[in-house]
Amino acid sequence: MFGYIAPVLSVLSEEQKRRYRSFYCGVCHALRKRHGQTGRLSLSNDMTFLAILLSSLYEPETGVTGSRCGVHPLKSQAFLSSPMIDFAADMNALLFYYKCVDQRMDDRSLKGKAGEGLFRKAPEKVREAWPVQAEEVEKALMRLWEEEKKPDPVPDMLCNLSGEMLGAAFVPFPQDVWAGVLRSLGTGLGRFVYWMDAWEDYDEDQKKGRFNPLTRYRGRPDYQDFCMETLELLIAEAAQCFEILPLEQDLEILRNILYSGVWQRYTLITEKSGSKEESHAK
Amino acid sequence: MPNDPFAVLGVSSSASEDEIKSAYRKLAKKYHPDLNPGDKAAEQKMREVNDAYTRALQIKKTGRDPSANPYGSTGYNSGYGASSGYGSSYGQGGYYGRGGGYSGQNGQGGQNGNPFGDFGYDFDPFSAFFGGAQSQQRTQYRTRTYANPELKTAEEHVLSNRFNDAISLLNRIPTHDADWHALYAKADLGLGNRISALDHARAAVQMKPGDADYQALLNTIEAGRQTYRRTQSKGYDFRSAICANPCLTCCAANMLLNCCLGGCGRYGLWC
Repeated sequence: MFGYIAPVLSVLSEEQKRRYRSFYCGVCHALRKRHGQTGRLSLSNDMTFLAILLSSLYEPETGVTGSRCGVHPLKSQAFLSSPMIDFAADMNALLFYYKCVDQRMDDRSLKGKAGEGLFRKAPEKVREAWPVQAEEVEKALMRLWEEEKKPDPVPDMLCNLSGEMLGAAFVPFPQDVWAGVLRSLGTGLGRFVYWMDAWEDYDEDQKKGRFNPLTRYRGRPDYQDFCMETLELLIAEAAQCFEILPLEQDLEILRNILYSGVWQRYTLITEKSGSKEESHAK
Repeated sequence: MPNDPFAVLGVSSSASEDEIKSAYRKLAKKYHPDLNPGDKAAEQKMREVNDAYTRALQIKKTGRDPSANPYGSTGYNSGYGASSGYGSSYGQGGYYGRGGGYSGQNGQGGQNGNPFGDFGYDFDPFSAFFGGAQSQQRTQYRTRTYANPELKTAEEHVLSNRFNDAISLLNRIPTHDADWHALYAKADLGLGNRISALDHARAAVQMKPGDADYQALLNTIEAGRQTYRRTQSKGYDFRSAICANPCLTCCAANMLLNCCLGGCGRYGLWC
């Protein structure tokens, strides 16, 4: 995944920061447990959000363990463990693997190739534990790749398929009463992430001659506003679904992410390019 | 409909959405079928609580009681709970069983397998919960008179859910006036093409600012954004606090380094 779905840490209380970290570390440990040391390389904020969300919704029995990490051997760090965190870790590994495959196919990147190699066992493992989700993720991805190969793909179509892929990874219990809302939430987030990524990568894609779905909108005078508004449209749909779920636990952290955190990269990039333009003007 | 949903949940009708959620959780923990195996009365109670929750929330969000319409809570007959043991069932197959989502530009489009279509034209997140039972409530468009007969045909396609036909016809029309854009937006909505729909609806309004239909179309598409902004402004807008640090990952990395060996970015590869 892309790391867009992260909190604005500076406004979280110390307690909330600790809480967020204990989930983040929980996913990290679950990755090691289920996918080996290298599994941790795939760790992302996006799937930490999923872990917190599902833990809040289902309130699974959660274990708290203090452990010392190699990087910080003197300080014991609390991490959580639960079936929902395991699920998020599995989805993390699966999505990471396919992101690497995608990168490798896109521009033969070494990074992608290395990741693909390291995570080659992930799909099979995840398929074993979560056959329905794995199959749906893969199906959506295959269709996405197929669409992308077409001469002039419809941006919305790619956006929707990308959304579908994440939507499938948001549903641990397809029969549950909340499955539909969770899926729509994940799908909405997936669309947003796809569009945000396209927006962020536009210049680089141009340089390298890669396809970018924003190309057909780039020439217009209100391009920047258009991007902002469409991004907001997509995240708003995810937020609407989120607000239907009966959540209490960690609600502040989750809303911090959905209403502000997801805009972090956008804000930083526009500020940076804004100041560049200013200095040019001088 | 029978009982007052707020009374079932034990809250007043002035309760906030978050209070409704808390009340629901308390009751769900009490009547959850997993905690009351085989208890028919608890199961029934759980159903009532589920129903009351969605109704109360919907009244809060939309001002409408969904049970006042014929589709209200039909098709919704499921239990709360994560456990696979409890057989909850979406009445009519639910969202999940609806052919796996987006059918897209080349498929038949239309009603099935199309998330936006399932939600109806007027995006309604509740329909995901109701298993799409409300999708039949798709907003009816008013028919208009067009100078160009081809636009009339395109409108007919849209009204009968042949969105792909509408799009391919519209693509062949060289003149792109406000009517053309509005029809394009409607066909896009039917196909779940949110971005393109917004784009065309805006174009229609820009070209014909006084047109109430086109303004309404744009407002419907933008309704979610307005809600999003409202919630943001209620204490969840921290964008000004986003650190001016040139690299966001630095903030994140600080945190991660305290945390996990080999976490994201340790080798500078996957940040």
